[in-house]
Formats: sequence, C-alpha cells, structure tokens
Amino acid sequence: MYDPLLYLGFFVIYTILILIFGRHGFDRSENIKDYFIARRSLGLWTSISTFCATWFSAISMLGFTGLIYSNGYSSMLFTTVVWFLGAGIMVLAIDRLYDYGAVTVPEFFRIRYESTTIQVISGFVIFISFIVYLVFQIQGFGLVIGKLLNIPYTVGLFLVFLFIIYTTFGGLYSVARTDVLNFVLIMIGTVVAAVLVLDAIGGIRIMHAMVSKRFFLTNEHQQTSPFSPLPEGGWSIVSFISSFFAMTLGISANPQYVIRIFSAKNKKTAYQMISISIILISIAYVALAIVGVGGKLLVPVGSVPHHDEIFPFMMNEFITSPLKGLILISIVAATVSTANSQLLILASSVVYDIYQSFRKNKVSDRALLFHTRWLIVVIATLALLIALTPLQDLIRYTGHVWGMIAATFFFPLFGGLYFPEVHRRNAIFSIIGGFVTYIISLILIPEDFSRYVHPAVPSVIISGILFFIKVRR
Amino acid sequence: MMKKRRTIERKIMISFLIVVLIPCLAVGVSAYWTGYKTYKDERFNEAENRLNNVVTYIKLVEQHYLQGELAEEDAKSLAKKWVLQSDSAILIEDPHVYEKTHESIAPWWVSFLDKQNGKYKRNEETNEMKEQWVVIYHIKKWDWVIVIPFSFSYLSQPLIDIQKNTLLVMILAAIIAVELTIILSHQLSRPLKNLAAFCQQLGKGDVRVKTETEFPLSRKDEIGVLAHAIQEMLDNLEEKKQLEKKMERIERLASMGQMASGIAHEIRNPLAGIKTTTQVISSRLKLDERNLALFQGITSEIDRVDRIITNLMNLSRPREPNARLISAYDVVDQILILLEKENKDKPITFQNRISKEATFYIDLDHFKQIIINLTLNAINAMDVGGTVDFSSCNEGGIFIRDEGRGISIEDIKKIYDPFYTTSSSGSGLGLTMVHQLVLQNKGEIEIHSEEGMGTIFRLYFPTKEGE
Repeated sequence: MYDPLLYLGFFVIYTILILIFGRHGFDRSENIKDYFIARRSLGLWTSISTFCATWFSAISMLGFTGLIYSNGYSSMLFTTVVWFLGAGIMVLAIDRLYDYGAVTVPEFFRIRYESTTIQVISGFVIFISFIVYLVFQIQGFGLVIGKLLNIPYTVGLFLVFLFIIYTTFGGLYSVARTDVLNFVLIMIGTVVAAVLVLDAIGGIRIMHAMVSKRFFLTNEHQQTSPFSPLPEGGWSIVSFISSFFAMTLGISANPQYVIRIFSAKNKKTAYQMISISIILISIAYVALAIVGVGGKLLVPVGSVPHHDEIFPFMMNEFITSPLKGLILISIVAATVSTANSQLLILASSVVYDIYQSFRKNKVSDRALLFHTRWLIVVIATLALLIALTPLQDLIRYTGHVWGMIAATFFFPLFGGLYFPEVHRRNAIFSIIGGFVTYIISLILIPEDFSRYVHPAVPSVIISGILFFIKVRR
Repeated sequence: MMKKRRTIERKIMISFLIVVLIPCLAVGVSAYWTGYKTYKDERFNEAENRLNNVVTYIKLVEQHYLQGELAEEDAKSLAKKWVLQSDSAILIEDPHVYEKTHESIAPWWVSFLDKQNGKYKRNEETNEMKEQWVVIYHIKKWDWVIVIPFSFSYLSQPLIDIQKNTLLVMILAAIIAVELTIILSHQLSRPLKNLAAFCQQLGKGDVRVKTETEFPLSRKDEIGVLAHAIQEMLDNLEEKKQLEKKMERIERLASMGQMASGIAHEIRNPLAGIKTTTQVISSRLKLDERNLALFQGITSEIDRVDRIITNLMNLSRPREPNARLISAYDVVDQILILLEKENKDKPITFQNRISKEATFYIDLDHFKQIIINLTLNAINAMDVGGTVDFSSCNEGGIFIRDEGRGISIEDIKKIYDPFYTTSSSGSGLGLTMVHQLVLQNKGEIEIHSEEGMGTIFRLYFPTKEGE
C-alpha cells in the first residue's frame, strides 16, 4: 500500500481510540486535586502505563536511536543508565514524600518549608522549564509526522495540539487512561521496529557480526567497537559524570515523574510502579538500540542530515511491511503521552502554585476547574505559536530542561526529605542560586565543552552549597 | 454515585456527531470524488493524446509511402519504431491472429479489436477500485491496430498525492468537530446528570450538604430553575416533617399526661396520708436531733414527690393560655433578678442582651415558666459556673446560650420526653413542660448543642394576635 495512505489509516484509528479513551476523565474530577492527581487513586498498571508512557517521548525515541546509530551501544551508558539511576534515586523519596499528601512539587516545598514564597518561585521555575519542554515535544511531533505523512510541519503541530488539549481536558484521569493506550502502542511499536530491522538484516547474530567488523564513529571517520562502554574517540568518564548531574539528578526531581508518586493509590504501588516500569522501559530501549545499530548497516553514511532522523528515514526507505504504521503510531503515542503530562504540570504550576497563592479569597472548586481548563487551552496555544519556528537537534535542548530541574529542585526536594533542620531560606537560595548559575553556565560554557562539563554541574554544586551552607555554620 | 449510563449525554453526542460528521464526510467525499473525476478525465485525455500522436505520425508515414517517397517496408518500419518509442501504445500487426488466441492468455482488450476507432472501452470485469480501459485505432491500409490500454483507481498514488491535503483537512475538521462535540455534550449534560444523581440520593434519604456542582442554585438557566424548584420542594418537605414531628410530640405528651394524671391521682391521696401520719408520729415521739432530721427528710421527700405530681397534673391538664403582648426583655430581666439572688452556689453570670423592642404575644405566666425552666437547666449544666446569655435573634426570636457541658446528639432526641434526665437531682419534667408551653402558645423551640461547648435554645413566639 502507498505509505502515506497506510500511515493515514493507522493515524485515523489512533485518533478514534484517543477520543474514546480521553473521555474517561471528564466526569471524574470534582475538584482541582482530583484533576491533577486523580484523587490518589491510580492502580498499579495504570501507574506503570502513565509512568512509562510519560518517560518516552518522540524526542527521546528518535534521539536515542540516533545516538545508538552514531556511537553504538556505548551510548546506553550515557543515556539509559543515567536515566535509570535517576529513577533509582526517586525510589528513595517515595516513603517520605508520599506522606506529605501534596498535589504538586511546589506544594510539597510549601508544606515542608512552611513558605508560600517557595511554592510561587518553584511554580515559576516549572513554568519556564516546562513551556520550553512542551514546545520541543510539539516541534518533535511536527517534524516526524511531517516527514512520515508528507504533510506540512504546521499541520503536524496542529494535530498534536488537538490531541493534547483533548486528553488534558479530563485531567490526570484522562491522561492516565490514554497513557495505557499510548504505552501499549509504544511497546508494540518499538518491538515491531526491532523485529522488522532484524528481519531486513537477517537476525541479531548477523547484525552484531557485521557491525563489529565495520563500525565508524560518523563524525570522526574512525573505526571503533560498538560494544565498548567508553569507545576511543567517543564518550569519556567525564561525560558520564556530566550526564549524571544533568540527567540523573534532573529525572529524580522531575515533577512529571514525581507527580506519578503522588497519584499512586499507596506507597507500595509507587514502589512497584518504578521497579516494574524500569524493566518494561529497558525492553523498549533494547528494541530501539537494535533499530539504531541496524541503521548503521542499512543506512549509508550521510543519508540523513541529522542522526535524530535515522528512525523515520529507515521506516520510509528500508521497511516495507504494513506494520510500520504501528511504528509511526508509537512515535505519535510517545509525543502525546509526554506532552499532555507536561501540559498538566504547567497548568498545575500556574493555577495551583501561583494563582492560588496570590488569591486572598478562596475560589470554588468548580471555578478553579473551569479556569484550569481554559488555561490549558491558552498554554497549549502559546506553545503551538512558539513551536511554529522549528529547531534541530532537539535532544540537546531537552537535556537543558532536565539540567535546569536538577539545578533547582534536586536539593530542596531530597534534602528537604532527609535533612529536617534545613530552613526555608536555604531552600529558596538553593532554587534561585541553581537557576541563576544554570543560565550563566549556559552562556559561558562553550558548546563543544558542554559535553564534558554540562551547565548542570556547576549549578547543582552551587545549589547544594546554598542549601547546606547555613547548617554547616 | 449514580450509575453512569450517560443517556442524555449520549443522545446529545450522537445527534451532534451525526450533524457534524456527515457534512465533514460529505465535503471530503465530494472533494475526493471531484478530484477522482478530474484525474479520470485527465487519464482519458492523456490516452487520446497518445493515440492521436501515434496515429498522426503513422498517417504521415503512410502518406509518404502513398506519394512514393518511401518504400512500404521502410514506412512500416518507421511507423513501428515510433509506436515502440511511445509510452504504453501497443501495435498489433495481425489482429486476426490475436483474436484466435486462447482466452486464458489473451489480453482482456482482444474482444474490442474490431470495434470502432477512437472509442473508449472498459473491461467489464473490473470494478471502481481499479478500472481498466482501452482505446483502439485501425490503420486500414496495413490492417494494423493501435491499442492504448490504461487503468486507474480511487487509491491511485498520484490521486492520493493530489488529494492528500483534502483528506488531511477532512480529518482535521472531523477531529475538531468530534472533540468539540464530546466536550460540549459533556458540559451540557453534566449539570443535569449531577442533579439527577442528587435526586437519586435524596430518594435514598441521603440529605447531606450540597455542593454547587451537585446542586447548581446559582445558575440562571432552566437547570437553575429546576434546582430552585427542588430546593423549594425540599423546604416544604422539611416543614411538613417538622409539623408531623410536632404533632407526634403533642399526641405523645397528651397520652403520657393522661397516664401520669391517673397515676398522680392514685398516688396523691395515700401520699397526703403518709405525710400527715409522719408529722403526727414525729410530734408524739421525743426525738433526738439525729432522728428528727430523718423525719424532716421524709417530709421533704414527700413534698418533692408532691411537687412532681403537681407538675404532672399541670402537664396533663394544661391551663389555656391567656395571651397578651409582653416585653421579652422586661420579663427576662425580672426573672434574672430573682434567680441571681437564689443562685449563690456557683459563679454564674447572667447577661440580658435581648432587644428592648422585642415583644411576644404570649401568656405571661407560661413565658415566665419557660424562661425559669430553661435558665435552671442552663445553671445545672454549668458544673463550674459560667455565663447564661440571653439575646435576640434576627428572625425575631430569642437565644438562651449557656457554657455548660452540652448535650450529645443521641440525648437531644429525647430531651423533651417526660422523666428523661441526665441529672441525679432533676425530675425530667422541666423541658417537657417548656416544650408543651411553647406549643400551647403557638411558638417554636430549637436546640443546638455540642458536647463540651454548651447549649443554645432558640425560642420563637407570635408577635401579634392571630400570627
């Protein structure tokens, strides 16, 4: 079948399913807490689905495949390993964090440090970081869908805009329900992609045998081993430490995952959610890694201008099975699931953390829900307008968002849980200090050098010093 | 929670979906159909142009041959070369051989070889999904046939490329329409669903505090009107319930009063005999101080029983009220002066904050009795003293508020029952009497109490005759 028609067919089926699944939460939210954390009622498999689906985005799927294509399996040490370490650190927070009964991370700060100021400041930090993050997601979707369906970039943006507005309308109930669908599609899509690539090459043994004979770092024109954790001319241990500061600490304090702890029905569910999710996510990453390495054999060097595009390029050029429609939908599902979670976090930071803190009179639940839904439309429209100018090399920019979260939230969050003597002033200084240092580092550290010293490194250190400095005195 | 059948929502949604999706589909399908027709015409024109091109050239060569400028073989060779070069045209030099070819291996257009020149013929075995056509031309001079077969379908790649934007616009329009339909149908039906769920709960007797979402009284549309109507109905029901409760109490008091009156009558006479006998024996015997106190105790207990009997008699045969306009402030003030003098055991403060303009149309003695009983009740409830506050309420009644130990929810239901008391010294008739007198004077009494927080009685009486 003609490819765009095949993709269009799958896309229409996905749209119908999203419309049905997204309807789930419309009736369920009675108040703003229901809307943002689903009344702390999410069961194990729903929590796992929403955690995993939020974890995968189009940017991470394409970016990860591109990295494996460029550097071989060694990229996994600097991506999946540091990401999973972040999830591991998050486990340390569950027991204490859950007891606070907060709805948002800034609200946890307010309760822990008894300060509305810190809630407002952290609400602003989330807004600034996540609006950028959301724009990247929308742009990633526009680029992929534009290439695969051969439609204008703007139309692609508008499609994701419609999806995320609709799925966010019902709050976390709707987001979680559509995430069940999205997660199933992501898993099927990635595994199908790996199977089709292996089928095109002749099996995993042949692939590894072939790739070990001729694997070049595309930038260096230098042969290396795709299996070496630290290949010559590739990544180094310094880069690993740098990634740890930006990615590991960024993920562990990322509100988009922390909120999944809040929404789990109990602590046990939260623990199981993270543990089982890591196993399932690993399967998807292995599948994507196979696609990346397979790309090295199937795609001639120089066929794509950016390595992020290797996955869609392979789908168009080397995979003939109609099942590739599922792969496209898995990328769409990854974008929708991440973007709607981010939109929800953005809305919670504005309505719950900033707007409510400034209002003297209590607003009724009905009015607050109404305002939140309208705000979601406004924020999504704003992100859509910003996204109209496309950016390349998206995964690099998302790294900065995580770095920013690490620099501002890591110490106030984990330090707040484990060091009861730390005062609110330290937490405020830590957030502001981390934020300012990150911006300065971003400007001052040259782009080539940032691979070794990510802006997150100095900013997390400064944030930590500011957090503890008074205690030491 | 009401079982979520979403009937109204579904009805609204399905109707809207039909209304919005049919035009979307109709516009999309007609646009695609128009595109398909144009594409089809183009394919016909293209085939015709190719045929004309080939035929014109062959005729030119033929003319050269006829004019003797070319040998027949050369002319035919040139013509064949030209046909071979042209895209998709087939030259058949001996149509009769083709016609004799076995059906299974013959091309589908063989049966049309003898047809008229330039006519389009369709393979009847094909459907609209993939149509096959042919256009044929006979070169009579050489008995040649030029055949140009061509095909197209609804899903031809070039057609989809042309129509892709139409499809996209249609899909986008459909997504927007469906999303808006779902959201709107939800928004429109939600207040009704909430109201229905609320009524269902009412039916089950669950009258809890209503939120604005469940019971949208602030709405100004029909749903607001419905909510107000339900509210009014609920108020009427509540009023009726209160009235029934009041009637039930009156009847209960009357029957208990009759019974008590019978018992009292039977007890009073022997009690009088016992009292007289006790007094006689006491005067005849030379009693020491200790025994004299015992005898006095007997007499005072007999007096207490007698008072109870008198109260019971009053309860069973209440005096008809002689109502007149009285000043609540003045009456309460007079009573408080008396009670202040008598009450020296505990540090009790009385506050009379009743408005001086507050008047009731009531029997004066009954009102005094009510205030005395309630005040004594308040004093008894305050073990370590406190304040008894009398004040006016906005609706025209008066409050009597104490700082005593309060009454539990379970006890509140029984406080007006005769002989029900939580105090060892009380008779359990004080509040029964208050209640009876209030009802007799067409008044109302309400109580609000919390354990450990004190009790508030609220009294309402008519303010003029006939109210």
